[in-house]
Amino acid sequence: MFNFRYRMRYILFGFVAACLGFDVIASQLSIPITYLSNRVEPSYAINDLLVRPANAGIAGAELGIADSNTTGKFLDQRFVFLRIDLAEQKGSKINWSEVLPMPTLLLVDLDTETLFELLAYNSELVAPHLIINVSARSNALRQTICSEYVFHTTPSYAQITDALGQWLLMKRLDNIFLIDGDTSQDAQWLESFKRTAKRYKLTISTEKKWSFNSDLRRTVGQEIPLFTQTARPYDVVVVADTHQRFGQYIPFNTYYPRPVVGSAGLVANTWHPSIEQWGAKQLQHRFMTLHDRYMQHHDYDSYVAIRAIAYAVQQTASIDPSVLSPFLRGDKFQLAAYKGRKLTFRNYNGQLRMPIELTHPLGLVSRSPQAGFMHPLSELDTLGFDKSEVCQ
Amino acid sequence: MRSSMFFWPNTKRLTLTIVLATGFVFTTSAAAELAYITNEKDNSISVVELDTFTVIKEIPVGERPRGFIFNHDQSLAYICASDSDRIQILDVATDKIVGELPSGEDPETIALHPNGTTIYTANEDDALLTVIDIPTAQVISQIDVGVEPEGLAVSPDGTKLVVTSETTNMVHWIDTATNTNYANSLVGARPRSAVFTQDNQQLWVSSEIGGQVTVFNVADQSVKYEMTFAIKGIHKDRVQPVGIVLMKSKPLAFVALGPSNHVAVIDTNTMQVLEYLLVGRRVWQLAFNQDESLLLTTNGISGDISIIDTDKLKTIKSVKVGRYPWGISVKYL
Repeated sequence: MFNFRYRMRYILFGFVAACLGFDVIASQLSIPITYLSNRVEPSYAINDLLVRPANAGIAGAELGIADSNTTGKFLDQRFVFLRIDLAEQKGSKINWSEVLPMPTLLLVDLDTETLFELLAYNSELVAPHLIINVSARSNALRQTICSEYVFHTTPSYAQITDALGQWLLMKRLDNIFLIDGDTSQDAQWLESFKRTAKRYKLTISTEKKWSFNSDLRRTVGQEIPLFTQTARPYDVVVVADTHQRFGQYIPFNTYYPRPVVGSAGLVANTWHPSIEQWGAKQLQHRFMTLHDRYMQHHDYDSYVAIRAIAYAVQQTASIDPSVLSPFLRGDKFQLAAYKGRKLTFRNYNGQLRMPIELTHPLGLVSRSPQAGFMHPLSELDTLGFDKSEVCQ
Repeated sequence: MRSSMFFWPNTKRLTLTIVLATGFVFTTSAAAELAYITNEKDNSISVVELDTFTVIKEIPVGERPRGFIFNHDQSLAYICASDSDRIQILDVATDKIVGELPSGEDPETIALHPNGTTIYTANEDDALLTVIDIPTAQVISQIDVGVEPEGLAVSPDGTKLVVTSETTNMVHWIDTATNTNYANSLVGARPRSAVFTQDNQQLWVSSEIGGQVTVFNVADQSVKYEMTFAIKGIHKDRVQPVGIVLMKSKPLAFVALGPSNHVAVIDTNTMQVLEYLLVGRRVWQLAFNQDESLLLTTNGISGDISIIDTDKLKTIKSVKVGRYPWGISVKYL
């Protein structure tokens, strides 16, 4: 029975011959990697400049597959990219065994709630799927899920806000005016930022929630100065507006002339089109050639996920999640990912350790961890949760 | 041969003009060896005089110049102008670009076959190795290699060529007689440079992110040694081997260690690191002068070159050049 209500799209890279049943070399290893998503377009209006490309994330995975196949041809390995879109299933109970009948190598681009459901299902399987989360940044996912089959190549909110916090401390911008948004992601971001502020002794002198009851396109010059007026000056404005519904209007309009960071102004993320160091220029070129647009952080996060799997397959010559998972978490795993140092996974929660880029809309400003933030194991572990904060 | 014949009269005429017009300038610049450094971000070459250690000129070249080598008699230099998608030919006597070679897209590094007429370039964007015949300026062959091919080396006997691919993490072995890829060896993450020993027996390969240098036995591509580096006070992730040079006159090898800002000195008899020499920031390529008394390093971030005295094993000088100095070669006396 193949009672499929799910819209499934199979995208195959290059290896048409195999699919059409032509001669396949017996020793060739075929590695299917499935991109599982349930993205739904937002219901509110977005500035055209900020609209997320339709293939965000997927585009990065496709480049990862192409790069891995260039390597694979020397090793008789062929990576095949498959997609399952659960968008139409949103809100209804998903029958996971129907969606994923076999042990699979998965990149997941799901909302946090659905991802938790999948992880709960996976933890009960005898032969679990290898799951790499490429989009959900929830801190709870990193603190409460410690299955050895689960990985995250997208950073947690904690990594992002710690990266910002270190920069604020380094710049001595420690008196903060904080603006809250109203989505659940904003709330999670905010909670994470407050943890960071406590960690680095940053003072949140004012916290205000944005009201969404005016049209900023017309009245931005009047609304924002009033909103950000305080009796005593602050050093910096921090905006928690993960969906960019108002934050982009804050810079240059604050009551005191102060920098804006967070989700507008200076932004912390994994990637930006202006990054070109450490060979990044080549990656940007390849991405532009393949997709005719700039590479964004969603693309980078899934590119790295594919490359991590490919490296593990290359080294272990296996596609079995029970072989690949320990390898990915182990000492031998090292990923060159255009960040100037090897990236590895935290063996306690599967989170990728990575430097975080701090950028303004047109260029790189800095990169965290900032110099001087030390950790006994790796400076990269000054960002996000340490072992003692996970699965206790 | 044909190319040097072509330029000879030109060179002579120019030399004569310089002698007549400004005789003393010519004499001073001819008295010293000259280091040529490509400045990746300035689209230029800085020329440093190696007795006074000063920049005596900057030569404008194509976009994003990286790999740089001389021909055998050093009358010409070949420059990878990566973003101009070509190899430019520089007439060393006149400092003028006198020709181009078809290179394929984004040539990064180049190597010259001992025959002097075949040049190889790695096309970083296209995962290709291009084989070019210099006299006819024709592409003879393009060979599929891994993603982001980088380090190139031709064995001194001319029979073998290797290219490393940064994102594929491999060394691709190529037979120069047939231009075919006959073997591939996996190495540590992000391999950068490759160098053959003079006796053609060993191949040294650096892995930037893997943090190691692998020495292969050329005959059967087996791994002979694997070396890692440890510098006191610097996290191991920042110790990233890039450029390698092997000394002919002494059993020493030098390895540039990237953002650790050090160059390792290795005794090739014992394969032990003797010393770590502090140089400029993000050191990547290395070159000796003719008698190997000096070793020069290009330091990408600090925008300078460091000069190492190879007898004392001390860094004696740094010279500011253009932005992101990349390739380096020395014009002998």
